[in-house]
Amino acid sequence: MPQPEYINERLEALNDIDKELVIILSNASQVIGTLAGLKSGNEAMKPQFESHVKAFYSSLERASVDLRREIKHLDDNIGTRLLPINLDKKATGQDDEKLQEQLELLERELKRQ
Amino acid sequence: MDVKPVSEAEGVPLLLDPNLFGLFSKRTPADLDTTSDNKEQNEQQPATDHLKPHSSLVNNPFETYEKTPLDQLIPLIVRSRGQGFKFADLSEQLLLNEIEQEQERNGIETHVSDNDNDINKESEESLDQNGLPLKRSTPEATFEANDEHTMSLEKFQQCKRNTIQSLDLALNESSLALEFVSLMLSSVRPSAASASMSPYLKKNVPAGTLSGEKVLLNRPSREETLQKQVINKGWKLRSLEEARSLLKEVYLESTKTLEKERKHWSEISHFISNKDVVFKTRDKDTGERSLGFKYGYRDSGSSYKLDRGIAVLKHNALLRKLELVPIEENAKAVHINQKNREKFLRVRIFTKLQEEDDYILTGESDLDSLLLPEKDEDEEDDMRIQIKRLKFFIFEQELMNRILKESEQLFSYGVSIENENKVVIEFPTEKMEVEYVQLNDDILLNHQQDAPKTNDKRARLFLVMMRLLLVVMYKKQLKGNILSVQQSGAAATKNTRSSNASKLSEPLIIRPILGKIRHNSYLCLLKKIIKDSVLDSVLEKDLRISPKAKTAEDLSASKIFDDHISKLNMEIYAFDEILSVPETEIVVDLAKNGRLLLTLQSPNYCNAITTVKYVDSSENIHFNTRFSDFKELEEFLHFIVTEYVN
Repeated sequence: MPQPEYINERLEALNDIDKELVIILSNASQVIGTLAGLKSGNEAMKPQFESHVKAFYSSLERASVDLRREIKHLDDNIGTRLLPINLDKKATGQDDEKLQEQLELLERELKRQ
Repeated sequence: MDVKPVSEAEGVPLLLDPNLFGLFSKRTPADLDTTSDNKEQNEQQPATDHLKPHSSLVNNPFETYEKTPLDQLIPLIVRSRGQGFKFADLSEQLLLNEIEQEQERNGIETHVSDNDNDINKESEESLDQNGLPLKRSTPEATFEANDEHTMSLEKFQQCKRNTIQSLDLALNESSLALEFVSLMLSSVRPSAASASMSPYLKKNVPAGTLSGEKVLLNRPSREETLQKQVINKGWKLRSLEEARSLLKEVYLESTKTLEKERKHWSEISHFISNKDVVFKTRDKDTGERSLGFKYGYRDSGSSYKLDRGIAVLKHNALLRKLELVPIEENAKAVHINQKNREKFLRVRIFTKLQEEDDYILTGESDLDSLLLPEKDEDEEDDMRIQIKRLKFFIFEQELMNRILKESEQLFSYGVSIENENKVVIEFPTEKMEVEYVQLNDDILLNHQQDAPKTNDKRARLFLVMMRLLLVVMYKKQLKGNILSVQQSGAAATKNTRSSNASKLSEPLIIRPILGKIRHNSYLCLLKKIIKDSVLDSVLEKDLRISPKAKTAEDLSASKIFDDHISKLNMEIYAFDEILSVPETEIVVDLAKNGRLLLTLQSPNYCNAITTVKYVDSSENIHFNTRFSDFKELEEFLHFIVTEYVN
């Protein structure tokens, strides 16, 4: 029994945030690469450097904004979709499950004449 | 000397003792002592008193003479006296005469001028009386002098302070200088320098640190500086390049991890349903954050404490799938591998061979479908199967544990514990083995080959019934939990609750089943006795056997408003047939001769107590006797039949 669509959406969103955070690393690497180019005297790399820095900051912004949004989702759903954090979920109903299972076995057994 | 003309004009006589000038000009209290010392040397001591009022003298530049040494002062006096004067000729008499002459001159002047006579007279008188060539002071002047004296006390204090301060300063400066020199010296002659150094300096400054050495500074050449700059730049560029490649590496690695994580979470969201209990925990082996999974029956009424039934969700890198790894709570339980947990209950029925004193296997419960190896099982369901298996094994484990506990008390009814994994229940014609078996390949293999046997079904039913009874125990426990919460709300005493709990925890798994079987055999025996002793000897008879059904009064009598409790009651009641203490009534109708009422009871499920009542034709009850021995019962029935019926 898979999780409902909403939960999958949230997982997907968190995954996207992760991706964005990883892209920040890639951006940083590119920024440093172009900086090295600039330092070695290649002035033509200046616009490239600028665009990489911009990309770095926009990724950072997207990640933090999205993360905030997910936290808000979490806050909003406590008490409706989710149990309050300080409450432990109980594994209730397993007795009924077993009962059902064994009764089915019993039924099958009794039918098997 | 510029002061000379003045001294010639009026102050010459005063040069006699230049020290006295200092007394007036710099009259400090400190100096007073010196004056007193000087008194003895000073022959003209009274003159000092008269000199005081001469304020003009206070400012006299002759004060400089005070400091003039005697060998200079004498030539000075000689010079001022003019040529041909010898210091040896200077006598008191001569001086007195000179003063007199001068005063006469002055006196003429004063007479000419408009001066007060009295003062002159006084001055003349003073001259007469003292014989000193000094002017008499005016009363005002005396007053002034007194005033100056009182002022000087304060000045004295201040001067004293100043002096002390200056002294201290001088001492300090000199010792600083000494320290400095010693420190400088210490590099050359340490022992000599350390002797004059202060302990503080010695402690804080190492010797020889203040030497006058000269360090030569080689100015780098232009080439060198250029080379250095190039090297610096090279290093910087290289570190930038390395930082770039490091970040790139990390990026690539994290992308891979991310992909794995995404898969992990999608698997979890796919396999874990909302009914499952998942919680945050830490993996004890690796210390990593992880998800725990609760599969135990604790929250569903189980009070089994040896295994909490918690597993950690792990990603098995080898099999590339999620795995549930049960947490071993009990440190003492050493399992060689995880497979050791995989044990299940097997019931086997052995029938006694008539001729020999031996048993043959006639029935065996089969393996649960869960335990069979999945053939081409969909990977989709892998996780659910893992969960099911875990639940199955923990249930079996608890069931065995309960059975062992219960069996301890049933020794006298043919139940024996062979070992910790095996319980044997013996009946007259057969025996039943409940075994807690390790699941291994042999069992799986043999199972498929086993041919069906006559008692297989019974064995299977027996096993299912035991499981059902454990579930009923859960239900009772749940009910007890709810009730105890309610009772504690109603301030129930602790004693009743604990007794409740102990009653609840009493295992009832083997006992009811065994009781039913035994009761049945008792009934057979009883019927045989009745047949032998009553039916065979009486002509008119009618035998009625009715198992006494327990009415549902318990349920309806106490009104229960709690939905959960009433639901649990209903569920428990469903098993009342087996759980209630077996009881059978036998009525032997003897027509005209009344009736025989026999009740077979098994208060603790397994024993047999028979109550016999004889009701005669006029509805009189003659006996109401209980027997726990069938031999006695048989004799008693004989007695009744011979005495009353025939």
